[in-house]
Amino acid sequence: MVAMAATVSCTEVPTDEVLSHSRPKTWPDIAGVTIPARVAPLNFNVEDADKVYVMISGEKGGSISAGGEWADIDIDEWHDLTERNRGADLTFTISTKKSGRWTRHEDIKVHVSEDNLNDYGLTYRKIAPGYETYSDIGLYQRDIHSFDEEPIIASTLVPGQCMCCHTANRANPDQLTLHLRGSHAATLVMTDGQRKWLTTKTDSTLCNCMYPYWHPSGNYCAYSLNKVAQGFMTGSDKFIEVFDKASDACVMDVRTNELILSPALQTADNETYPVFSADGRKIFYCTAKPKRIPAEAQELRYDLCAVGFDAKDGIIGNRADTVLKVSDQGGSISLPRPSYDGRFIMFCKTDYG
Amino acid sequence: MPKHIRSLAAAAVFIAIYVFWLHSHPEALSFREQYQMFLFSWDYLLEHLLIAGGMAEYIGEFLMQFCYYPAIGAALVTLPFLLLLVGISLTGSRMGGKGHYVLSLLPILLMLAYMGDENVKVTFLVSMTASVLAALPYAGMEGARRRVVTRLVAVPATYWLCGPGGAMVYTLVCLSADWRRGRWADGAWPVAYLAGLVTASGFSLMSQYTPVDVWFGQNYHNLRMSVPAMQFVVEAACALTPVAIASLPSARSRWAVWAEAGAVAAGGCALIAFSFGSDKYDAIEFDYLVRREKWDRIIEKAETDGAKDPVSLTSLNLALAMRGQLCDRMFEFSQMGSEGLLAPSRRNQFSSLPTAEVLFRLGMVNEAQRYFFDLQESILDCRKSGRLSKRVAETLIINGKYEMARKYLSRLEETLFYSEWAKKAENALGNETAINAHPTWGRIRRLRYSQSFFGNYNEMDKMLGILFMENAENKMALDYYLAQCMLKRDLKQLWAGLGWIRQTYGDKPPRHVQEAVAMTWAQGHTSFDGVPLPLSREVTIDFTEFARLYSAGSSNPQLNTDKWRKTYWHYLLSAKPDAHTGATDSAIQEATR
Repeated sequence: MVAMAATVSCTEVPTDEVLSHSRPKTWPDIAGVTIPARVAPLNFNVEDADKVYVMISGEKGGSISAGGEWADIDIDEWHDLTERNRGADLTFTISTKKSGRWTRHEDIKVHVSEDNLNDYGLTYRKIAPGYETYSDIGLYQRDIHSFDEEPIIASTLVPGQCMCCHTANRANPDQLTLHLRGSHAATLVMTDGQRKWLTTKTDSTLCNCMYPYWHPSGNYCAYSLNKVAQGFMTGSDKFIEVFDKASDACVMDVRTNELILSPALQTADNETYPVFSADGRKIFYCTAKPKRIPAEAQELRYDLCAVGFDAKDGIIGNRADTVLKVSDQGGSISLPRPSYDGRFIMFCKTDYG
Repeated sequence: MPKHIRSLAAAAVFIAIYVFWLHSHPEALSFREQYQMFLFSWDYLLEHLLIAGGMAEYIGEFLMQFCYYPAIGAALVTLPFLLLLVGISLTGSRMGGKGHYVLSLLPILLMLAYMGDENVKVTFLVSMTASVLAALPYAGMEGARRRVVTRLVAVPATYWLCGPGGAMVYTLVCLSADWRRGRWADGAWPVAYLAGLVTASGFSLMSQYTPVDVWFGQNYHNLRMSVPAMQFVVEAACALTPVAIASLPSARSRWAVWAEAGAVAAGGCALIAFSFGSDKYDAIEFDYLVRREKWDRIIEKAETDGAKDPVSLTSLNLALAMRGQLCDRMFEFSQMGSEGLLAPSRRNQFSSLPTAEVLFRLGMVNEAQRYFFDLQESILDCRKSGRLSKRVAETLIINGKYEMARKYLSRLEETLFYSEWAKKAENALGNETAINAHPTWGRIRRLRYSQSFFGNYNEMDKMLGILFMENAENKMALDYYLAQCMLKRDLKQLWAGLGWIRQTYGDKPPRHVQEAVAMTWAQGHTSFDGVPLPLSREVTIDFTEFARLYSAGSSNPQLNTDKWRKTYWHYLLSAKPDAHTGATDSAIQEATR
């Protein structure tokens, strides 16, 4: 069967394999992951290998193979295999070729979830990891069942502009906000098919609105206001630091295009990354005592706080509560993200920044 | 005109344009070549085939890559000009022309003049050439049905391969050929056909491009927010010259022919001279010479033409430094403060290129990497650059970031002229002995900062000082430190480096440094006895004379002679301070407290 597959596909099939008890270092690392059925294939290659060959067998039956410089798995065969093996394991039997010799490695298991993959996919921005300049950037959407990718907006459509911070309301793109920066800067707020391009800088706020997060009702969107700066290092281990010289947070009523401000979110401290709780009654945000930038950039540490929000009247509370304090332990919290069921909040914790 | 005369004329035009590129403006071709990186890969070809005009761009970039070697590149870039000339001439002939072939020079000269704009891509030249050549068979085609089928296929083909400008030229040449046949109505429908194709494309395959790009071409010119009027002029010339050749009455006398030729040539040459004569070409040429490390040529050029902008001046000062003459001769040239020593980073693809080269050679590796990286990201058509990718790879190698370097090297290996270098570099990755022994990488690795701190362009003198303090082998860092102090008129800072000057230069410090020290010392002393730096007899005599002339009045015209204009004293006391300086007489005095 392997020989037939090889004849049909012209994939080089391993011969005279040496057995190894080591697990192969796949890229990406797929060992032990759980995937939904019909997700895009887990194509991979192996570090330091000239070629790779994989036979994928399902616990509930079926098998497929792939090989080459990459294990480029046929999408339709993969979908069928994962569909057939819902709730069961797939076994990846991987062989690698280096300097003309094949080695067969310890098997890797991947579990297929019972859950359906109902979502379309995800969106992201592609940008070269640069310093102060951007060129070929764009926002893209990717079908998670395959590798199909389409541009939402690319820099060819808006030459010289940067686009960023695209945020849908709980992944529902019917409500979307994003920023364009450059000579024709504006913030897009799209709700119910209506698009508005807004200039969000006011005389009462630090700067244009930046990192967004939608209220579950879709009537409000929280934004941070960040005066961002970069510092460039002379040593060889670290090139760049990015930090806020100052930051605040606010909420925009997207029905009236008004910014809702609160002294609790515009203190002398740095407030940033405002996000609504799952029930929309709180705003979580990160806050740090200001430091001299860039000299004390590595002492800038954020804690997680919360302030109340009245969606009926569009009022932000004045009393801030500390949710999680890590700054006194040498840690810093950023990018909080509450789960939509209200049970969890996920965040990044770093040494500083 | 007899065929052999036309052939000779074509050959003469080829040679003239070739010589123009190779000897008058090789920097114009090098400028374009350095902002592209043609890859011999299927992905690179496919990427071009997926957009209108992509094939013309692919061919243009293919030809342009040879400008890495100017003699070869100039010939290959001249070839489309020759083909365009022949195409227009033959098309006019097939339309029934029996004279006025000299008019076929007109589009060529207009095209050449248009390419004096450094943002005009060779894509446009290839597009015009290909579309005229595509129209050549149609000009003499018999059979109405055959002509219909030809255009049904050729209009979308030229649109997709040559872009909207090329397709329009093709369509108009065909229309004018039909007009010559008395059947111009036959040529009208392809115009609507083309308009429909472009419209449909704008809503589908080209939906991520602006209407200007879709209708007028997104890869003819680097600046895409508008279309230069000259693009339309050249397109019109390409489209209408064949029918003009065919339609104008024949010249009655040989003198009329010569007069016509003279008028076209003179007008064209004047336009070309104007187009290539702007100051920006000075800066481009300076950078071209920096790229080729022609330090003596740079200095000679500055001696005859001057260096009038920060880019040119940064290149000149680098050349002086590479020849060990920076602090001896920099004030022989008109300086413009610290921006002429290290032009600041600006968000464009060119202004800070010489600065990046300086930073690299100084050993400011991270700063150089940032500049080269951002320069590449600033390339207007979002392409990558062989020159800049190579430099980024080198900074990564020097810093020991081998996996990142490998990514750049693997792309450079897909080019024609950078691949050999890239393969050698890749073989050296991880081989510390080889890298440390490399004449450039090893040297810069020794010179780079050992400590890590936040760099700041506004404190460049301090950064240079720290660089020299960490490695006294880095004489260039000391030269730039001293130059920076003198340009900023910060003599206190310069005075603080006297120990370094003595340590490095011994009994023969650089001329301008001696001038600065003499001036500073003289503020509080009546003789040069005890001056902490050896001053040559010539400097002391000159200073005495300068002081005598200056005491007669700062506007003494004798102070503006060449002799004194080439001294630091003249710069210090006469020129306008730049934004970073604040030194005044009191600062001079404070330096010696």
